[in-house]
Amino acid sequence: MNLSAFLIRRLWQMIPTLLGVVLLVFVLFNWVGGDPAYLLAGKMAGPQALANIRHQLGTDLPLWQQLLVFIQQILTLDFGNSWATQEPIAQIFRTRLGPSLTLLIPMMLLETLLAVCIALLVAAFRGSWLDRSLMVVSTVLMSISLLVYIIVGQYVLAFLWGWFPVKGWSDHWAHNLTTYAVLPILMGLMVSVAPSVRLYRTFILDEINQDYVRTARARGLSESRVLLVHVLRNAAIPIVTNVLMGLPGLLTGAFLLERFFAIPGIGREIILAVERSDFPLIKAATIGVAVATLLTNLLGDLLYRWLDPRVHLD
Amino acid sequence: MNPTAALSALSQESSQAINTPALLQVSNLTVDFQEDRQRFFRAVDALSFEVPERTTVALVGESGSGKSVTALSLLRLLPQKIARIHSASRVLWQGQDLLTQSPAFMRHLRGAGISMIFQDPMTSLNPVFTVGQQLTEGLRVQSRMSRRQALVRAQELLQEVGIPEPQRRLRDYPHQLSGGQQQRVMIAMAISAHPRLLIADEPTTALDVTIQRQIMELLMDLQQRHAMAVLFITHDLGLVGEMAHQVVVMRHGRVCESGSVSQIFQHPENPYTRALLACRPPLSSRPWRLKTIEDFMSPTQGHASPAHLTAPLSGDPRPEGGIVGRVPVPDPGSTQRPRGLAPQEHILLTVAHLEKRFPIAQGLFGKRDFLALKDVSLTLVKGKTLGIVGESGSGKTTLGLTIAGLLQADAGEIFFAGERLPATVGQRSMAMRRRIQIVFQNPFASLNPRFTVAHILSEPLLLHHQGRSDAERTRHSVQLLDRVGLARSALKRYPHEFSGGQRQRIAIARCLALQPEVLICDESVSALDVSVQAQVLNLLQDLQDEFGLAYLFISHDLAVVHYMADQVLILREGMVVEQGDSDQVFSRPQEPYTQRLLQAIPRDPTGVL
Amino acid sequence: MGASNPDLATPSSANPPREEEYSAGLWTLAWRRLRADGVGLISLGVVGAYVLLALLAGLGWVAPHWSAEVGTHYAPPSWMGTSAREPDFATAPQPVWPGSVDLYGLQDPLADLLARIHTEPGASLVLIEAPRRTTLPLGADKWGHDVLAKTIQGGATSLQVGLFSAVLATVLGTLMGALAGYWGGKVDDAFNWLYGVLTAVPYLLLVFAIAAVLHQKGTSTLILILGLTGWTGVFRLMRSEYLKHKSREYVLAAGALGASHWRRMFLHILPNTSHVILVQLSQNVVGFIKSEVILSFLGFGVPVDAVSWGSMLNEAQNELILGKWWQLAAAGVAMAVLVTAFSLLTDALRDALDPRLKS
Repeated sequence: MNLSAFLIRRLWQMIPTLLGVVLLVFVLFNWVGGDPAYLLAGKMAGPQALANIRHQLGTDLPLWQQLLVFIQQILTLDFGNSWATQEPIAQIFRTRLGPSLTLLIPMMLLETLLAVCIALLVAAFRGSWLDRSLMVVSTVLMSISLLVYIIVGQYVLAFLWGWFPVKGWSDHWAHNLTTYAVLPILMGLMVSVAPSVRLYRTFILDEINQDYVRTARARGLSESRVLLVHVLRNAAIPIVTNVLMGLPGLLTGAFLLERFFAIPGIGREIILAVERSDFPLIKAATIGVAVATLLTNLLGDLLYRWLDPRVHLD
Repeated sequence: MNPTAALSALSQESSQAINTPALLQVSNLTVDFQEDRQRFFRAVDALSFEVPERTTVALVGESGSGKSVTALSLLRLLPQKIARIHSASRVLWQGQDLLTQSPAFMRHLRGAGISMIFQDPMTSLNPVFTVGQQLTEGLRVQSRMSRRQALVRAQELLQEVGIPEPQRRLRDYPHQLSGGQQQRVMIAMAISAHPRLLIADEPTTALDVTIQRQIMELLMDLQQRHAMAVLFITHDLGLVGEMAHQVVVMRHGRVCESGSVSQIFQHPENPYTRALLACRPPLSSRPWRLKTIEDFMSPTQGHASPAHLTAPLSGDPRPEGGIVGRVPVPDPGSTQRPRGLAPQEHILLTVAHLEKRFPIAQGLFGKRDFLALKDVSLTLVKGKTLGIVGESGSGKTTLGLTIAGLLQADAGEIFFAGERLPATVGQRSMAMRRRIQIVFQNPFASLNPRFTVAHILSEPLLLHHQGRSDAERTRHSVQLLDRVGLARSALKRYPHEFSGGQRQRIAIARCLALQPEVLICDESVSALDVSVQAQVLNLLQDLQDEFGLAYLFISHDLAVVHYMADQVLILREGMVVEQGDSDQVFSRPQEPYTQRLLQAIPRDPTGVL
Repeated sequence: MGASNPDLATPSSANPPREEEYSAGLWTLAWRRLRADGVGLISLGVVGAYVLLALLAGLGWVAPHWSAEVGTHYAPPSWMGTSAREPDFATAPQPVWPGSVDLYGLQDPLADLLARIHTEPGASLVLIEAPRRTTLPLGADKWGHDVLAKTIQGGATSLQVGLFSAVLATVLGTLMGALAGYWGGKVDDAFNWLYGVLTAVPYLLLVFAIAAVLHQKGTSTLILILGLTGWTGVFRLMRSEYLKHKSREYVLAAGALGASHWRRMFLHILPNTSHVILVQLSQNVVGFIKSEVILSFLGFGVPVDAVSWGSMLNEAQNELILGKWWQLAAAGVAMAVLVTAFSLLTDALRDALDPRLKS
């Protein structure tokens, strides 16, 4: 089965899932969420004002027509304007994506690199005091709330010692990357590396116990070659898949960082929208992130099939 | 190598061995495994043997005998954390003690001096590298060849081990090869650096009998051509007779007996060796019952079974050989058991044109069917055994599950005593379900690990509303246990406390609870050691004699089927190849496939087995 | 030779017999392994102590009056003494702290409620006429609340949310996973679709979205949100367990004996997956406690009149700049200890219950 046929089939299979997400979002915001007119108009509004707002929002239409409007919005990528700032939502996402990626891509790369190296190290010394103590340390590190890391890190490293700017963002990405993004990335790594190390360690240990490792040793290959060539190449399959599957979660997972360090990214925008009950923005964000999730899952699947010769494209 | 050549080679070798020191001398090897913080388990106990130059030595033993541990400890491949080799142990390789050498020395020795092949070639090859990459890796790293040289050499090696189109196979991944080809690749890798000793750890156990024959012949051929010594590790005495010059029989980590093949096979001295030789069902005859290990060993001799789990032997009114008052039993030693059908037999089960498909996804949205069973018809006679023989992928297990109603047939019909059976067990009436029961292959998976034996045995009674009270069901369970040879103290225990053979007895007892008429035995003795196998086969035979059970006996093991079956059905790729009376099929096979199967059965040169 | 022959058992299975007793089942063996694991046992003790404390706090026997203003503003911890130096903000010119989150000109949505709580002590508040204390065991916050009492009550809230939502999520996930894995086909498709939809949206985003539309806040609402969205991990694992077990030979044998589907699903398979369920439950508690803290920190979690570690961290964020670190330390350490203990307990449980280890 060739690649394009595989892609077509997988994209086709995404449609019911996406429809489900659309339905979920619609039910949440257009039905459970109640009448947004009260939210927008405030306490003083008279019935006429409320009716006007409802007409503007289209919430006076029957539900099925609202659903059609929503689907049309999704297909045209035109979600209207933010209720809070009146800024077009498409534009909000366009401008907020850059800062988010400036933060997330280096964070993901560093996390993967660090986690794989540490996991290889502890796997090479499995069962030793180094392994055991590193595992306990990582459990403790990942048990401390990200909030505590951020609050203390920002106070001590940035405010008291002045190593980093406390917060902020500039217009130039290189400047952002080298000054503003450093502390947030560092704080993010404090909580994200440890769980990855633990996970990758089990992936590597699973492989180390396989028969082919015994074969490689029986053929006189050195321990480092066994670990770095034979074991790592096999462990790379679940590791790469795991990194990719975790990407969309990172997008929203970084919202605390973006919020604390005033980075104008998507995560902070979502928090703001939730605080301000900015329904159109949340709806658009949810749909957008869902699509991104499904696409990265597909990419992960492709990579998995490329890395593992046993799996065919079917 | 033909048998006589093997024997003559042996006599040559043994005369040489007096003058030259052996290639490998193992003395006093003792290996402990750590079970938890305090407890150790002794896997190998003061083991001594030697491997002379250009000789094949077989290390034979059942599971838990320590034979594989021995092999791994020679190359120091045991996990260092949990395995402890005692300081008094010596492994002398051309005079040097391998146990004290540096890791670098050992690395150099592995592959070049001593190389090793393993039981399961599928998992022993790295799945994500091509055959070519794996073959050339050793050549380039160890023999320092260039890429081009290594590729040429790899091709030669594949050619040597009999892989057709070696150039194309170099680009294949292991999973694209058949099991036999995978093992050939393993062998090619093992001989690539011209080792002087090849350790083969159960190299054919995972393979079908016809492939096993090819691999054995390849190994014998290579041993001659490369003038290697081979340490051949196996549980199968039948293979030893053809392959080896010398034999070391192991049990519980110790050597029971060692000597030349002819010595061991014709004049075994140790009772355990004699028992091992006797408890395999022979192909040439069909004794009334199989000899078991107790026939050779006194009860005190190295009995590891927890005595409290077996029914009391003292005061047992039943003499050896059978059950007084139930079935008239001739003398077990001399009488042969007749097999086959009498002219007038009562047909119990009829299967007509059975078909089973499994869907496989294919193409863009399409599905393709894999035909696991094609037009299979059979009849089973009351009180008799129909043996179903097939290699892996023949559909024999699917057939058993489909008849039991655990898989739904796609076409065809099943009649029980003239009555049409619904396809799945859920559609069958409780009375119908009672009459067909099934005993599975894996005794470790077929009992619910969270249930006590009492719970396991009383469940069928409860489901079929037999027994008025718990006490009555317990009484019944005790009787069942007694019937399969287990004591009532087993009731309060969990399956994990029993050995494989004991678990299989419990599984049989569970079926007996419902007084079935047909018992489907799906490879029911395949996972057991030969000595235990004989006991369970004898039990099955006793039960058939006593209750008139009909067996659908599914197995890949031709000798076992020959012993058990009145009729035989040969299955291949879901189709019936040949069907008929057991004696007729085994002595005068009509189909070429059947003939090939029968020829592949290992036969020892001495004719003891 | 009759059928009464013993098999050759492996030597390791020869345990000394005790005729009259039931022998150790898998649970007993798992408990023995856990007991032998020092770290696991200590973790179990710590978790047990937290749960007990939370229970007592919930019953009002411990720290019932957390909202009583018993101390002076920012009373320091007792062991520092009243002589503890006044923080630098009083002496030095204060640098402008840019750390707190700007509200973009929005009214603090909680301002009204907060003001009401602090001006009119409600039924839950007990007026303390006694003079305010200048030190407290772990210090006091801005209003003079006892930080120790707050930490205990906050822990009770966090544990309550974590435990109940984990139970809800695990029960849901187990049920759906069992149905999907056992029945396959259309049932499986339906549950997989639901799973696909819920996992297409990152978990926290989903929780935010629900928090945004649900205007009433409350501990039970929070439990429902977390539980109803957090079952996907359990579902995935339980589905694959059921897929695996339903074709295991012991389940097939039960089918051949005539056991009903219900019996096979819940009497045969479920106990054999209990180790997965227990580990998932314990893992979910950790995850939900973390989620609760973040949500409460952001103001989407527990109501303002309840205390939680998240809301304590929120207050502590602004206190830190004044040098009042004790509330941050109390909440941060209390949470880290609980989560560490729970994580180590999860690891120990996984080791102790893993059925692969017993062979």
